[in-house]
Amino acid sequence: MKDTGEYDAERDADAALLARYAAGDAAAARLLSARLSPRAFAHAFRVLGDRAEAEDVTQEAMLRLWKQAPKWDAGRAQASTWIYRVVANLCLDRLRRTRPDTLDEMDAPADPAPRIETRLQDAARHDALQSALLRLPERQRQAVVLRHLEGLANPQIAEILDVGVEAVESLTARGKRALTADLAAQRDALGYSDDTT
Amino acid sequence: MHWGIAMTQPDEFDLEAAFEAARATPPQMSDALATRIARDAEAHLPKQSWWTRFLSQTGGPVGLGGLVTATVAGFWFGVAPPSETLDPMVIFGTIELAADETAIDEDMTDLFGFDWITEEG
Repeated sequence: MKDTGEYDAERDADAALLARYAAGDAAAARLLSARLSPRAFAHAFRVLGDRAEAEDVTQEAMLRLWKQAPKWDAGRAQASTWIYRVVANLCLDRLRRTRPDTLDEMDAPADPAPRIETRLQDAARHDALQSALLRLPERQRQAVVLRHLEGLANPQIAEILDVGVEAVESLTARGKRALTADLAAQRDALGYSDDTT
Repeated sequence: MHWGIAMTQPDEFDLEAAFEAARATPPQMSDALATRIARDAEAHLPKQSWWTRFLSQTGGPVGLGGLVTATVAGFWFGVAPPSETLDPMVIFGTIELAADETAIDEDMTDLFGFDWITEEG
């Protein structure tokens, strides 16, 4: 997790790059893209589970950043938080379009997808976690990914998901419980039963 | 990484180990996506105003300050040239410096090109 000083330094660095871009400096765009787009893509991919869709979301989020640059308020938010927030909302929009039946399931238990055993048997161990993440309700998934895979602090996640810090703690706790139960149930299918390490 | 496989309880799993493994190998974005993003950034790059371009081409405020100083100094040398010892005509020996400045004013005014000053003054 990042401390406050590191958070402020990163925010100032991103704001300075955005100001340079707004002044017409193309090199600043390359630096900003190198700093932000890999994280945006990683989050989108983990939440959507689809590379092509994650790439579209990342490009769209970065495009919105370029358009926002001339109006950027340096003291308002960290650019990475802003990007994560845009990515989170774009992912939610896509999930709602493709899977409307899983809407607003913040309190719903994990919903095992069909053909799960077939998928997991063929998947690598990382894919097992990814698959389990995709079976979480969207908000839990976003919170778990941001907290435990992207390494963000709860207040920053609260800002990204537009909820309170307590809600973030609740989402991540329930998400972790569901993931643990899901992955534990899949140990045999994944071939972990014989491992002794 | 061990992924908590040695656990005996069927409903337990070392999730933190799984997270650690996933953090170590984040999804990598393609070069094609980086190119698309760079193209967007270039297409939406705000246009610089003529003043911003002028400032950047003259070295910013410091460079502009030097340019203004040089311009004013040059203009002033034109209006009120320094003594004849700095005149290249004297320095290279084309003319000799007279003890009496009036002589130069009278004889060499067309060479200096400032006869209009002497005429009016």
